Amino acid sequence: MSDLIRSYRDFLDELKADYVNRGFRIVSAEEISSKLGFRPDLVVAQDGQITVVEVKSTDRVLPARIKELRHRVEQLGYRLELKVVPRVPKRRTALEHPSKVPGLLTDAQKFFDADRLDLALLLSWIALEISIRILDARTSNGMDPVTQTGDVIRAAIDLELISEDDLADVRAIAELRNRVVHGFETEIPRRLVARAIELAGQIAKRAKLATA
Amino acid sequence: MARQRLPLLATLPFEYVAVGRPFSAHNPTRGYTRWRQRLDEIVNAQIASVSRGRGFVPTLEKLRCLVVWLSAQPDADDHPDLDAIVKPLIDAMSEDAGQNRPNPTYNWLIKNDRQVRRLEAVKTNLNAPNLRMPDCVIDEQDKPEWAHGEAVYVRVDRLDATDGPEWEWWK
Repeated sequence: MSDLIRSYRDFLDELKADYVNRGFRIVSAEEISSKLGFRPDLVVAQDGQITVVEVKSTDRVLPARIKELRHRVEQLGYRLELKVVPRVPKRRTALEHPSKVPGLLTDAQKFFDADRLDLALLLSWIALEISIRILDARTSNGMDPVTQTGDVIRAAIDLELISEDDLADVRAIAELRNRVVHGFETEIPRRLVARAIELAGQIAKRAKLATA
Repeated sequence: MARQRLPLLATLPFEYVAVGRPFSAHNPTRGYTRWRQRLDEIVNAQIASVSRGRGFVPTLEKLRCLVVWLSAQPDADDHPDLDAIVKPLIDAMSEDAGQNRPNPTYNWLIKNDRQVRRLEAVKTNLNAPNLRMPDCVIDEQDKPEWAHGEAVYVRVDRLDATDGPEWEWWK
């Protein structure tokens, strides 16, 4: 699915309206496309000056490099303006389910008490990752969310969610989680799982996703 | 032995463009660190280009500075505040700030940010009709990142530089 906030077509309609509101007249693109060698997205005119408008977006290929288009347009005595289809602010596409975190922590504790350490470990890790990503997103200025285990840990360090003292445990928990996820036969130390639940709870609390 | 070419006295006006979404100096995140590093690289490359590889002796003049943040979605609620993006843009040109960087470029335009005595910061709609951008901004439009719809333009000149289209093109 496209991450554009508007479709190209809708955006073009908005552009047309913007230009018209500013006193421009819409000119038929067909009229000059043969001279230009490409069909422009929009052509407008004001005070005898013709402006060719091209629209760029991440999922759209332009007929040529902008420099080349500009050259062709200017050779004919016109102006070129390049516009960009706005993308949706990334935070609006949040992948996280913060409301799941308290339930994950509760279930992790239940599985821990029932001695299902593998499930307790996985659920606590999910809670931990969601909490770290949510805190990271508040300061990462709309960049892609961290997903790789190493990046998640680095983000937690940068955000001072885990201390140097915690780091050895977190790395051991991450390694253990990998072994469990990939189905390797491995001993699951009870202490590490308890620590995973504890850390996930602490970080969820910092992210205001859990109260205890 | 090749004669070493001495650096030039910094020439003004000086302009640079950083394509991408700017970061707030108030949040020293990994994203900010990368953004700050990119600004160093962009200013370094621009000085190398303008000075033809000789570098600049930083100017000590009092300065006027224009920062224009071009955004395809200037009203987005996940953007940093305009005032918060300005300092790293100026620091990237400054010797005093640059000397404390992890990997100094040794290519700076000004001695320090105290020389900036007049500062105008603008956030404007990249898609505004009839926006006549400077050539150095237009030159960036072929970059694939341009399609993300965020770029910052910085112009520095002497404090007494007169008003003109080069300061007001964004209006």
